[in-house]
Amino acid sequence: MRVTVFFVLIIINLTLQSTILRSVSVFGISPDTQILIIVSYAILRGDMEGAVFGFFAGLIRDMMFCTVIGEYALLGLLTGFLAGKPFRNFFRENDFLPLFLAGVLMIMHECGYYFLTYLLQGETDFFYYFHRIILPETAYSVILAIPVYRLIHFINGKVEEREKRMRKLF
Amino acid sequence: MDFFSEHKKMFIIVGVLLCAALMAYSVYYRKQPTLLENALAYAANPAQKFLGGITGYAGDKINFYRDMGAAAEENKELRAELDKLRRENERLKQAEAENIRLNTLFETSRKYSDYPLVAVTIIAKDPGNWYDNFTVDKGSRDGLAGNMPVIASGGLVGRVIECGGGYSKVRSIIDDSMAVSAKSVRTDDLGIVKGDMKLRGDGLCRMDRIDVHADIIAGDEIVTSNLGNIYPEGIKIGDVETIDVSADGLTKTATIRPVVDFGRLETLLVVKQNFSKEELYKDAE
Repeated sequence: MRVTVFFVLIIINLTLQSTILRSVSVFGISPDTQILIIVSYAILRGDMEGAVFGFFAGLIRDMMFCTVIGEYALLGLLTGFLAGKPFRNFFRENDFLPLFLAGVLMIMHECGYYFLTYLLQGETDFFYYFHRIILPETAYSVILAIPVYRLIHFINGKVEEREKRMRKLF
Repeated sequence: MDFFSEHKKMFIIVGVLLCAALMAYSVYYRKQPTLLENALAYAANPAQKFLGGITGYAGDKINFYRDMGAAAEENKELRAELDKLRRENERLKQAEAENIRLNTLFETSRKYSDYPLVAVTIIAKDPGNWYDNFTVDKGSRDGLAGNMPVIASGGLVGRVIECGGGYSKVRSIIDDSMAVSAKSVRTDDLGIVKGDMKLRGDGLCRMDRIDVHADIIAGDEIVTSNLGNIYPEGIKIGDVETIDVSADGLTKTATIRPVVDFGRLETLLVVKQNFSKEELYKDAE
């Protein structure tokens, strides 16, 4: 149940991201909602589940759009793991935490991607890429962080309710 | 879950190693998309096609109403231009006839227009901001294969990097990871056209490693050279905008304005022929 729901969610998100979100880009930069979803999920479910979720979300993205498999999977895994760290110390209804974590982890995720691809290709001008891609992308995405978090919170709540009912049944 | 939380570090390390192994594997061994990837694309492609259609339709409508006012004036201008172009066309027809004559004379009619072309439509773009890939709606079932050149509106777009059953991934020449061997038509000077993130925003790309004594000037036409292993000779790439001696003083670097407008691509043509010289040699053996 949980797996199916979130698998479908990842596919739908990637589809939207590759079609509609690409056409609302500002200065050629469009938001990366997948990272937001990984962060939101990890905040709700803790570090291990976040890491597993991030890994598979990244793997699906790698398989659909990239030629090298594993880049987004690796970054998704680390992002999910780090985002799940403060799991026990915060209320889920807190809106500031996802906003803050989304901003910080997005920058980390994209710096990691720069390191894995551009830097290893010999493009050493980090600050150019930082202010040309990483910062605008983060700024654009963070606007969506709270709506995405609320949506994942809602879906996760429904799934958890159902899981609880199933457990009572047996 | 106790087992998981006890061995948390182990799991993360195993995950990281697994990713590294996957990356290494896919760099060295993965030439074709796997069955799983094909299945994923099979599930996602119809939705992408549908949503791509919607955004295209909405964009068309918005542009239609926005451009209405300027249309009358533009019409006048276009009529004048049409007259001019008709005259020019007449002249070019004569030039073409002459060209054909000369080509047959020298037996150099080896041009890409002779190869079978397949029209494909872009259904999705890379969701990230780093690379410039598209997914198009035809794949190996329609006879496409990796490394086939892709063209549009008379210029080079890029090449097919991967082919699944009903989809393929195309990478454009303004992508940072692409390099095309090119030459200037007027002077036959060679160089390598590369994508550059710093120029991509303006729709430009860069031509590197031009001989420092080459007399390429702004406005020169740049086409693919005969040295490439993927593209046939003579596909137009673009025109030179500026040219400078590079920082080390040994080569020149030019900025190129591609003929293709990469912001507005929709329908592309794939040249259904593999120009890889290794394959040719293999066949010869």
